Amino acid sequence: MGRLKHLGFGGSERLGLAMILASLLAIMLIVFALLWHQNEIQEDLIRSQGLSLTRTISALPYTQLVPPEGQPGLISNALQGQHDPNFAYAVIVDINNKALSLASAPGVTVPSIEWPAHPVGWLSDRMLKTSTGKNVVEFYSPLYSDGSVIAYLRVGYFLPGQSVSLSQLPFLATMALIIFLLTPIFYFLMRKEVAPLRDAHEKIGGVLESSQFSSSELRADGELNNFFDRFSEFVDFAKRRIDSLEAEQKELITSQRLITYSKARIENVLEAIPEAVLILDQTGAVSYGNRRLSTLIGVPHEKIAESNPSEWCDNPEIVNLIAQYSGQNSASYLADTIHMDVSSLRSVNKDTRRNLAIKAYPLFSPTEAATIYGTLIIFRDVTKESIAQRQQGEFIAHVAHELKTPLNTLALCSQTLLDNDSDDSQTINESANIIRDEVERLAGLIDNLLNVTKIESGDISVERQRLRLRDFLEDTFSVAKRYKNAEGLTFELDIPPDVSSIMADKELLRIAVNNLLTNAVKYSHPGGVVSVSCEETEQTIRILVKDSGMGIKPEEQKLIFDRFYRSSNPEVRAKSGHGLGLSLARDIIELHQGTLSVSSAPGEGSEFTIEIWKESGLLKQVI
Amino acid sequence: MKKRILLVDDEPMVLRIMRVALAKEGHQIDLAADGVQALAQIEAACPDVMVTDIDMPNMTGRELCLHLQENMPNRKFPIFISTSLAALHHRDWSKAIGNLHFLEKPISIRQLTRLIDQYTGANSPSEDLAP
Repeated sequence: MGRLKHLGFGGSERLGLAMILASLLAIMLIVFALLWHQNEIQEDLIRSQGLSLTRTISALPYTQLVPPEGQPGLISNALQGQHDPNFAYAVIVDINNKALSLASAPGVTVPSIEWPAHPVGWLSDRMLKTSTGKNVVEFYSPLYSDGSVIAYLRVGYFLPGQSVSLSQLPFLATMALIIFLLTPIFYFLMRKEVAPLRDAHEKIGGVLESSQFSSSELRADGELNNFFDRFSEFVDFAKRRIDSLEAEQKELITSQRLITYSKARIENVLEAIPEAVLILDQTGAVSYGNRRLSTLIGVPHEKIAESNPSEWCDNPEIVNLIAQYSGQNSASYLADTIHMDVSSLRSVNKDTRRNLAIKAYPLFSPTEAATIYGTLIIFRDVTKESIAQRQQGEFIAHVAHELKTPLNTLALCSQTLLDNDSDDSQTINESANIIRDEVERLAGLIDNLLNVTKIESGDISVERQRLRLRDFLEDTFSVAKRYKNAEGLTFELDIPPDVSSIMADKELLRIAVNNLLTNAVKYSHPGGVVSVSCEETEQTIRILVKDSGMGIKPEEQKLIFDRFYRSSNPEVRAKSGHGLGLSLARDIIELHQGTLSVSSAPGEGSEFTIEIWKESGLLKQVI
Repeated sequence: MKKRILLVDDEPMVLRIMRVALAKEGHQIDLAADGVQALAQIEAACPDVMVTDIDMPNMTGRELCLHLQENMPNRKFPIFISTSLAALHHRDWSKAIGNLHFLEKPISIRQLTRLIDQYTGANSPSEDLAP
């Protein structure tokens, strides 16, 4: 509202001042115009009078105009004492510019001018200045005698000035007063006319301040009321339009927020998906890739949506796969999951092959079901699953083989016994011994398998109890002495009487130590030595199981703890075994947060060392 | 008739029982734990009969037979292969090898003895003896 005031509706005082100034300006202009007009009239009058006088005098005979010397001329008689205030002078000069007869107003000197050698022969006028600086219009004409120019007539009149004479002052003052008196009249009339506008202006100002507008508030008389009616209609229309636009804007903002929320939610869902996700648009260009994809392929997340797949993916198979889905007609979507064995992805070690399961899904338009407007490609890293599957398959194959081998031997023995018509005692005894050995082998295998399975599945629990190590090892050692092939071996047990107790699962630890002792006995030569000793450090206890048997090659020492691994040494393979004993022993020791290591030399024997914390392993971990 | 028989198997128990059973019949028995050992035995003393398992470390029974076919084209002794794989397509590799016979596990010592007598007494064409 203040701004509107500033623009003109609040400054009535300034309007009055402006009107006064305008009236003064008008008075000045009118006075100036009157004076100018009056001068024009007077100048025309002077010219007319001068020309007439010059023409009249020049028509007189030269002798009358210029009498003999000593007599007054006509000009002097006729014009001296002229009461015309504008008359300046009248003079007849000869061709040498010498004054022959002169009549002039008092105090006026005839301006001297260079007279042309060949003067013009017609009546004319010119502007001159007197010695007092007054402007003079001079009319001149040649005087003839016997057809020749013998003199010139010069008649001068003062030009009227711009000054105001006293006689004009009353008239001009009256004019100025009239004009000046009209000013307040115009001012009040204007104020009256402007009053409805001012009222409307204030109401509109109120509207702007309160944001409320009622068209019925704007009322005026005559044409202005019509204008207000139209203006009110316009305002109502604008208001409706603004309301409509505001409603549309609100809907738009709401929709935009919903879209933003939905987009964020969808992106969160896509980010939460454990698989790598890639979304292509209709043209096959990448429009979105989640962070798991960037992790999988080893490129910054932002780069995926900004560049061509060939720029961030080294694997041509994947690039070609993505390229299949460019264009609207690319409907050759994969019916089944594609498995790719890739090694070129940047995120992984180049030496490590990675198995990806890739599946593409068409994204159909929500409005036109037949239109495909994009493609969703899911990359799933199934390397671990593949390895696990392969390992499981290998494990089952090993188990099957290990189970089948003794069964085959048992079948052979039974067939041999059935075929033994002569009741040959040697065959019967050998078969019986082999059957016993193989049954033991099967039982051991099955026990170990069950324990391995329990450990792998996490079903086994370590029930720690305080274990008197000396008693435990003596007991376990005495059992080993009764093993098959134990005959002819020397057994040595070296356990300090004051060895500390340990916290361990007695049954599990017995299995581990038993497996080591079984191997020590099995792979020892007749006459060899199997020993168990114990060493104690500040924090740990070491149980050492040593034999003087076949020994293990250095390159095999890392492999013997792998499941089902059996040495390629023929001497070793001649002994029955299934390659699970050491693996199980290591698992059990690791369950106790301990370590199982081997030191061996082929032909000299092996030494397996169990190192286990004296305190609870769990407690040790916490510490 | 006493024969020199080479038994090839990585299972010591199998070798143990077969050696006892065949020795009882009066045969001389040589033992090998895999194909490599078998080749060494053959080079040292060519057997009259070879009985071999297939699945063995270092050199399998299949590799052993193919090696013999290539390096001993004039081999006279029959080869008996013990297998638990009954399907014929598992035996396609042996078609080009002569005097080779399959025995399905478990081996019957009585049947093996009869076959040894049969194939070492007269030259007979190669055939599959597995039931």
